[in-house]
Amino acid sequence: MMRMRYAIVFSVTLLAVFFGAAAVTANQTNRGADIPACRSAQPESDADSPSTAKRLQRVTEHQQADAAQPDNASPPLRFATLTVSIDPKGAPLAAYQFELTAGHAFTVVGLDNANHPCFPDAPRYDRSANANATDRLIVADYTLLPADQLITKPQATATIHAMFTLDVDTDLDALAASVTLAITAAADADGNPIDADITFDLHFALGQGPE
Amino acid sequence: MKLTPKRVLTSLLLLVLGASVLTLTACYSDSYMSAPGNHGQWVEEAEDRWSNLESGIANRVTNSLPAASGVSGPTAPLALARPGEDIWVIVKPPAHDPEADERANTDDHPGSGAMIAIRPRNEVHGEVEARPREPRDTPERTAEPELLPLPLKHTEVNASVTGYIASVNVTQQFHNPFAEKIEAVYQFPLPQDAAVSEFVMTVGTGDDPRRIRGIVREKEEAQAIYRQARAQGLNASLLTQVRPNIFEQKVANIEPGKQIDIDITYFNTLSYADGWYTFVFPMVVGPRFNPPYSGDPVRALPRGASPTLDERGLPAQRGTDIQYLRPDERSGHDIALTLDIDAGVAIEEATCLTHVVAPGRMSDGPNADHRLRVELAAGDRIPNKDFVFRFRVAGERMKSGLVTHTDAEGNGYFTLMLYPPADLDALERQPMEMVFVLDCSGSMRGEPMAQSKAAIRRALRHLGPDDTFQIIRFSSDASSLGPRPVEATPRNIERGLRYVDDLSGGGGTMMIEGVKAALDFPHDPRRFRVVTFLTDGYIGNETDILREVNARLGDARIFSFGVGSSVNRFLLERLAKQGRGAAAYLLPGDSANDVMDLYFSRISHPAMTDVAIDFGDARVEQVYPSRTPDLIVGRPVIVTGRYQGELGTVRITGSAARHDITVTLDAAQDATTHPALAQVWARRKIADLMDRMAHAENRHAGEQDALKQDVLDTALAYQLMSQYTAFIAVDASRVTAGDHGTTVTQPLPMPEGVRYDTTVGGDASE
Repeated sequence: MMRMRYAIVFSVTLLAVFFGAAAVTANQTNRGADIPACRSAQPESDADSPSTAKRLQRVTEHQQADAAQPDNASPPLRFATLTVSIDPKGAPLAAYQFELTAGHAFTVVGLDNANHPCFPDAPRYDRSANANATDRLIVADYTLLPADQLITKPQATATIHAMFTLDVDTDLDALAASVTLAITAAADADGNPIDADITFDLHFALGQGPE
Repeated sequence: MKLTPKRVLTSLLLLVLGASVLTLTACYSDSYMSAPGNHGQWVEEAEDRWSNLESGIANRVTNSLPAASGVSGPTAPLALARPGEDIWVIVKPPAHDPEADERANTDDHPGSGAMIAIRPRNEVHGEVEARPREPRDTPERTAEPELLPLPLKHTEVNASVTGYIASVNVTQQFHNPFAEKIEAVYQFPLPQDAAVSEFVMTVGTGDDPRRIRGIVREKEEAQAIYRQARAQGLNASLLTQVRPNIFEQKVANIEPGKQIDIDITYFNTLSYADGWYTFVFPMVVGPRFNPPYSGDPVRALPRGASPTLDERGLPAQRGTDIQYLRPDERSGHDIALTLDIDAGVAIEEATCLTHVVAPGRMSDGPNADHRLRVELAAGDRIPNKDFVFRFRVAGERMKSGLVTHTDAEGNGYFTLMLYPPADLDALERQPMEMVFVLDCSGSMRGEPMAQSKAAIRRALRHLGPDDTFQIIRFSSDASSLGPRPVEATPRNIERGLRYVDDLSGGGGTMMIEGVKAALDFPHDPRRFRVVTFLTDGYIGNETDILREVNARLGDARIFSFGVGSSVNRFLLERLAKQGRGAAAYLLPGDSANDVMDLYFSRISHPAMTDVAIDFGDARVEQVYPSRTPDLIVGRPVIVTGRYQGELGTVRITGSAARHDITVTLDAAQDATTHPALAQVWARRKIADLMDRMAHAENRHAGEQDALKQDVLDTALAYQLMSQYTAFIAVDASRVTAGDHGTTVTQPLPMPEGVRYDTTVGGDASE
């Protein structure tokens, strides 16, 4: 029954469309820097011993060739996360659906729940919309938790992992500004539509650089 | 010439001596027929020997005994030798129990070193059948195999069965036990009809894991994304399909001491045969043999072997390398499995054919006897053999074979299990032309070979006087009992038995030669040709085999028997499907006699052929398989399609033994629903399209391209794995330190009962 209610709610197109509401962090425009969340690898003690290193050599032996396989992909490709936050304005948020578009072609390479316990699984996406477009994505999720355990304040509820194909002189600020996010449905635990705002953070993962 | 008493006496003595020679030679020719290495010429050569002896030309005798005849030379022929002549002593082997002899040959016993796990048969409801647990001494067996540090730590399988549809979640836990960052590569099997529809990568453990849902992309695109993510230091995973039942998992940038879990969800339908529903979860890919011309091989290599390189010295792009643990090595990888069954009706009997399971009913609810939960026992968690679980329900079958689902767009999907009509039991079969094709390659050596030989022996005894038969063996080449089927007379049956006794395992798996030999000789139109393959299916050129079968099949029917603990079910099922027959399995410890008795009880009745289905008022489209298989007694088939309207009365028509048969089925009665039906249907459609691609390979490219595009469109629309799609998941939220690290391929254990030395380390490797 709950799912049916959400399906009905999702069919109602809602509210705000936020153009340029992205909170682009300073690091996004600073190409070549690590993203803030990046932690350095911390080997655990038992894996750090010389004997373990030897064992790796013994296990892999001749397997380096595959790792060194060249990639001839020429256009610069950059990965990024769009962390999506929803503000249900005091109402308990049990379900949502939003649509993302960008002025630049992107490829979705993963979706997660931004580690929010209210939405324990990774959100779902509209397969047909994603299959037929490179600049559009529809994402939705719901939870069956009781109302008193749902979020009522602005919270990150989803993360979109995406890959952008960039030109050498692509302006990341302009790219971020071209991304638009619209919440198309939001509902409380009883399936009633609620008013909600949506924002996002765009972070580029700037590691060793593309091959 | 004047006859005198002396001359008469001398003539009589010569006549007696000549008769003795002829009698002995008759024995020789019997044995010669059974000698391996002379297959295919026995009729002509035996006839030559008779004529030569009669004309007094050939009296050469040698003392070279045919291999494996196990005989001692009699003294009588020595009296025939003349100075300067060889002694050729060939006699019939003494009567014996060939199966016992086979088992007593300790050199030929199966084993896989440390990976040996003696398989008990565990009756879930009722008495536990005690299985012998004696150790098997083999040259490969070692006392203390070395435990290797490897990335795949554990696999967790949670399966639930509703009706005859299984939903299975597989979690693979990869970790990095090394001091450097690694990329893990692992090849693993799934059921050949698995509709893989979900893929989630969990990075990190504890309170802060990121569960990232993977996306289906066109395969080349997904591979390019993965390479980029790996090069940029991101955690990423890529799932690709090597074969419909072999998949490859890559996980990039696993940092030292860290763990990344991969969750895969798939749906498939259970098989139903002879009153039992069977759930199978394959655990290991067997070592494949690849003929030299294989275009897309699956290579079996020793652990740590160099990847296959192309002419430029780069890793070969075509084909897949699968590494295997040596007998003195083991990995710490173990597997746990939980299976929940809700049959919808009372479960009367259940048994695990392969593993020790901890049985237990789900006790809550009013219909507790409809449900069952089993778990793999803690002591039986080495992933080196298929998990096979069977159950039987009250009333022999579930209430209705119809399952439906309507998606959000209003598209209706159904699966329908077609049961053979009871009328078939009353009809007698026509005379048969039985062709047994036995895989004698190195991977079959040991128990699989012993079981196969026992099965053929049993089958030969089932033949009637109006039947004919032929036995074909193949390994690196193919040969046969004779150039054409012989009548199933007692004498020929004896010859056949001796021929089978002398077969042994070794060499490669040139199955295509066996297919040609089985299907190419002239067919007797008065008889119903049944070709029976007995093989583990460990080949890498399945498509070539299926194409040859399709081209040469004619009116023959193919029944395939998978022999072993982890056989190539994709090949066996496809062979049977293409040959309008059925597949069956001989697991280690199974009674070959029982399996063959059941087989003959089924084929002793004609199949219902030319099956057509009338769905009444419902508008039904895209039904798969596109050609409805024959209905064989005890072997229902599942069809799946899309529909609009109401599925009510379904009429099934066909013919058997020149009788028209019509069966009316009230499909709507007790019909159930299942949300995964759209994916099950799409997976069947993809399989059907791939079959058509295999058959159309030599036709114009446009047809191939259209079929490929159809596969791709279907896979993307239903978000399924296929030959042309892949799942990709990237964690772009953080960059790991350092470059992309070292690639570590997870070596697999040898399947139980398969020898390393005759497959990966021996004469069968490419």
